[in-house]
Amino acid sequence: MSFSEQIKNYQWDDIRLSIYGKTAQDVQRALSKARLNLEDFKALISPAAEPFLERMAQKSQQLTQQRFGKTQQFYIPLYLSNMCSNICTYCGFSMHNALRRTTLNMEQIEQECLAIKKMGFEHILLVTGESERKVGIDYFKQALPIIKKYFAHITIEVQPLDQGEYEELIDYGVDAVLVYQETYNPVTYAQHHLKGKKSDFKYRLNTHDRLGKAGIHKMGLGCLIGLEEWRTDCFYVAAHLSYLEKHYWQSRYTISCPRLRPCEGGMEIKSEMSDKELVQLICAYRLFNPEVELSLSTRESESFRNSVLPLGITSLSAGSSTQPGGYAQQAEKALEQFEISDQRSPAQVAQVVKAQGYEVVWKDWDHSLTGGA
Amino acid sequence: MNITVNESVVALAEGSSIEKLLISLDKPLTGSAVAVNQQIISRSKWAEYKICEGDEISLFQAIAGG
Amino acid sequence: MLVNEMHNQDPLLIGDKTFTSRLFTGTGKFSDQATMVAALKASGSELVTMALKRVDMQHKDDDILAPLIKNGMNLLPNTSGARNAKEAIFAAQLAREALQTNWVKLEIHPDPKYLLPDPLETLKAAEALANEGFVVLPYVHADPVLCKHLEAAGCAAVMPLGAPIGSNKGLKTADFLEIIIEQANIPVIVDAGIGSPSHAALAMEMGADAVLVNTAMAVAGNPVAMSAAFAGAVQAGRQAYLAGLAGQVQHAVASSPLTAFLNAG
Repeated sequence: MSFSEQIKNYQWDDIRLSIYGKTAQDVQRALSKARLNLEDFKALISPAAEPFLERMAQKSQQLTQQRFGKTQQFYIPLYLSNMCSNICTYCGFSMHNALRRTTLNMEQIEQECLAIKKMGFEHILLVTGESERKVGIDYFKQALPIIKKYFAHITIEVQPLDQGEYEELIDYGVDAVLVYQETYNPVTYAQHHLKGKKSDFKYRLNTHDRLGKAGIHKMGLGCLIGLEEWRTDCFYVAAHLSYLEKHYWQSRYTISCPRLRPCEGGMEIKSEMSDKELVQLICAYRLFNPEVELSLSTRESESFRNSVLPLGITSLSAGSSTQPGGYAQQAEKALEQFEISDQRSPAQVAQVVKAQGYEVVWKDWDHSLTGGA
Repeated sequence: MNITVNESVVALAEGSSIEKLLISLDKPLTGSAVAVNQQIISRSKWAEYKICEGDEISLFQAIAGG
Repeated sequence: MLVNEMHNQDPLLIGDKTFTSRLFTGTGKFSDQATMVAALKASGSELVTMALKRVDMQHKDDDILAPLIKNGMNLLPNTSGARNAKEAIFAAQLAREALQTNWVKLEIHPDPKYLLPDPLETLKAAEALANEGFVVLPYVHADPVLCKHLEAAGCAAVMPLGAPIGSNKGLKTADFLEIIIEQANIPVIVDAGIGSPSHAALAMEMGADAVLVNTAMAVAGNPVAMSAAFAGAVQAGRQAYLAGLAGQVQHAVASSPLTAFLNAG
């Protein structure tokens, strides 16, 4: 069984119509249930739920605190490379964009780790473009032992890999893997992913199945909001999450809601999501699944993050750089993957988090737990 | 020859088959299972299987239960 | 839509069989065979459990099978009496021979007082029997993790208990049954502890695929009427589940508004 089989049960247009057909009554029902199903999720992300936003937010906050306590997990992304062999119309790293390509060598990685440690982080997210040949499994196997010395929890966001490769990386210390489908609509997907291995919709779609079979501790999913009609796309994220939880019940899950932002290449966004709608989405995910982690990155502005963090979010990045390295020295910028809106330092974000009555969690894991070398 | 069936001693003609045993005990053929010396004997073999002196036979039947 | 019509459009698939009735029944504890048969008929049950035991050499036991088979009921032998995996496997093989069915309800209770199922021996036996081609329906405590392991081992369904056998206490394990139902990829049959039709209806409203009832029907004042009542309850509960329950209204405690910031500026 794989998600590419399961997804055949959902017809894009039927889903879209169904979502827009939800009524206030459907929303009321969803809000009063203890266990929600996908139909309830549709109601919560439908336009009919907008008048209920405050109630959704209250419930979302309560559920999040019950499950996660009054805490926020801090993490930081470290871009190891911006090499990429894909053409993705929306991305700063796209192969056809002229920018200085660079991949950190082992020495540079070590320098970056030292700089990041000074900021207090224990959870790190390693990001690369998708360049199998030059930044592939061998590169990761070299880099991980170095990074593992410094950080208690390692997440990677790189090109989709085979199950065997994931099994190896788990042995090398990878705790979590994030792979975003970008859009679950195969036609739109093809329009935006013009060249490279990423144009293989099905391979990407089944990545989480491979991760589950490899026994990964945590995996992340989501779509790039704006590529398609966001309500329908996000339904697929929820359906994907449901499927994965049922089949890989020993893994944990995290969802991210990246909204398309301007980048080099300047493409037009098909379906712009307003702030209000993002709040609605975050609350809907939380009500639908009280256990999933919800992450908010520095794509979003300072003020927005401040207001949204108590509504259902459980992890935050801060002080991020989205170009390779960027922490050890303020060297000439190659080019960022996307513009960062929240430029505050981790210490500043931590202060705001504390002021809201939340504890900043720097460390929530340890490699001794997994028996890894 | 003497054999035991469910721990009761039973006298049986030499070389009797399981089928013959069940009939002689007036036990139904359907809904029954037979084990000889802890080995289950498949129903398809009941007519041919020859019981030997001293064999310990267990005879099972479906009964009411939850 | 008539209840019976809905019934037939909502079949339950387990292993190689399809069921229109989601009420499974046991044959034990009835005062006599005639009552048992009449009650089971009134229940509309299509799957009936029985035990296997060593024949009584002195007396002739009732043949319970003939009337059940005649009424079109499928037989589900259980391994009641087995105290460990080895005994259960032996019992299953005997049952397969005796009843010519590879369906088996795996029941291992080393504790004769409460008859609670042994999780370790059950998992062990389930794996072995599933590998031998049995259609295994294991009776277990309402342990969600154990149920996932049983699913992985190849069981055709799981049968978590509502309360101890014969206690009639209802769904004491409701919270855990909900989790099992949420997480299962195979049918969930709530078995044991169902003492009244309302318990059965509740289990179906929660999303259980079927329930198994024995004691509550057998020792009722009027077993035949009670069996019919159970049949109605299972149908009602299932219909309610499919229709989408309203849920209880919970008013969130109003504190300062969390979304006012969206309206500012």
